[in-house]
Amino acid sequence: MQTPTLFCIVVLSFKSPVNHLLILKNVSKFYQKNAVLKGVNFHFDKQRYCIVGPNGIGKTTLLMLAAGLENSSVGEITFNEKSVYLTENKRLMGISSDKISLPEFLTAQQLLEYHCSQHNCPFPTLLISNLGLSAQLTTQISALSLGGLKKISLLLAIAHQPKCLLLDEPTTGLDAKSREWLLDFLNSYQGQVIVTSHEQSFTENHHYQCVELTELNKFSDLI
Amino acid sequence: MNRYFQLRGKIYYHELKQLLPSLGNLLAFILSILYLAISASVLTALISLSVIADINTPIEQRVIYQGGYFLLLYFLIRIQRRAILGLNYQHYLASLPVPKKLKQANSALLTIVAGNLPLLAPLLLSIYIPNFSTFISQLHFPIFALSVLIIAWVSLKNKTFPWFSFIFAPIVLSLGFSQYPLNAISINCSWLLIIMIEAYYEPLSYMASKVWSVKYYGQIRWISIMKNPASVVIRIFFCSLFISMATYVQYKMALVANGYIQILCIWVLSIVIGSYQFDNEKFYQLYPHYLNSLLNQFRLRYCVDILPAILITLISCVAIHWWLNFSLEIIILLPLEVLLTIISVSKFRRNFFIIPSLLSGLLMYVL
Repeated sequence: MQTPTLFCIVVLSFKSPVNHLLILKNVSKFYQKNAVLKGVNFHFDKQRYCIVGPNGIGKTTLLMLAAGLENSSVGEITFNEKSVYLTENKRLMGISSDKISLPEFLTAQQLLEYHCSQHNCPFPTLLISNLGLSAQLTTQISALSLGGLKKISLLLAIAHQPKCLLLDEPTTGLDAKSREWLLDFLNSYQGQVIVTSHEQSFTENHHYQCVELTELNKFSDLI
Repeated sequence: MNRYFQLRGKIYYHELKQLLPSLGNLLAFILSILYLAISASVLTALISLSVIADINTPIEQRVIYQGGYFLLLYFLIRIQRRAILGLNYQHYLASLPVPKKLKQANSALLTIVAGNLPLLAPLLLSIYIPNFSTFISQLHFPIFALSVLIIAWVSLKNKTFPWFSFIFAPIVLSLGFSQYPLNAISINCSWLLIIMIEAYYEPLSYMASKVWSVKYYGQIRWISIMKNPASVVIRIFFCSLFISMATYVQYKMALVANGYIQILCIWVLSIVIGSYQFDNEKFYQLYPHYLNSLLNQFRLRYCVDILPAILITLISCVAIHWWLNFSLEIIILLPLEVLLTIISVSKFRRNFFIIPSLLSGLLMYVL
């Protein structure tokens, strides 16, 4: 049986190498004594990546570590040759994941306003409109549908136009129109995009280099 | 019908059992103090009915007694609100083919059970007024009983704390009209009007429903507290009750508490106020990734998060100084012990968070 890697067309010269380089050096992550990632080494030096692998292999954890939202148990993660935990690097990165619980007592608008005030960026009215979230802006996060939550999560990732976008299953839960817009948006996005997905829109997209996490994660040998 | 009532009764009982452990972070012996304090305050409230019933009670005294009575009843029912309405099972209860009036009757009955004597006593006393002419001459008391009834309804219905009825009204009635010869009936009518307006319009809820612009982290925490103010309110209530009772005891004994009693009081208050940090820790556990994604530093957020506790501490310091005449050295101990408890909660969680403040209290006693 063919692995998803074989479906991917690796494009080495389509996009120029990025200036802001995300590097994982011997990264391991343990929850209590259970290893999720072990000895992962990788240089994200291309513009588009799609991380693939079976469920539970650690794709989301990898993104969380890369965005500096979780601490690695072992190893070092740098972006632009500096630790991802630094505020200056957090400004350059944007992450969307269902694992990130958003303050449910705020409205979508309040959450975005705060995000924009932090990043000194304009309120993303056009992006909100394109994603079809305008009607739910005054809705509390706790009352948003699954699709609404995905949209607000995506908006928080892209609103400040980061150099590096980390998107965990970005199309899950989106309606057809929003999904189509998002794929177009990501294709034309100027910065680096790293997604985790099983969708053919990414795995068979020639813009994306597929990375099989089982090949990077030494822990997967033990599974 | 009977089975539906049994179901609601069981839900109420179950929720009450759940409610008690949720106060567990105040430790068992503090819970016992709280329990005694609540019983004592219920009794005090019932005794205060004689002051309220007396038409010749001065305005300031009436406002204090009635205000205290309303507050006690409000909190008594409010902390049992989820249990009374069965909010944790609201969708299941709504799915049952039971007439709406029966559901409301059940809620009313459970409210009476929850409100207990402070709710029933004024109503029963009003019924016992012997004749119509006495009723008219003593009209202030039936109006007070009606206010009590509406307060019970407000504590179930309204989402926000009725600031206008409990803070604004007493201040205006006692200070604003001190120049005018208002009688008990006018005061109670005015107060009832304010309570009814707040019950119907709920101005704070209207303001909260407005989408305020959020630009600072402090605003996020403020909104989270306003959405679920129980923890802060319980602490304010306990501190007020504790200080009031201590003041009352000191007043009755015509003595100022000894040094070690003062240290004990400070320590109890510091544990109650400092344990607010459990809420902050819960907040950090609920949104770990989102908080890590913020650009501001953890230390800055930590300082913002402890502000409510610091504010309650400062107000308590002023109250202790004003009413209890504690020495300044002892009063300074309160913010220090609160900070110590806050840091201990962050470091040691439930296991040993009282030990550092206890040791510092003992050290102060030895010194």
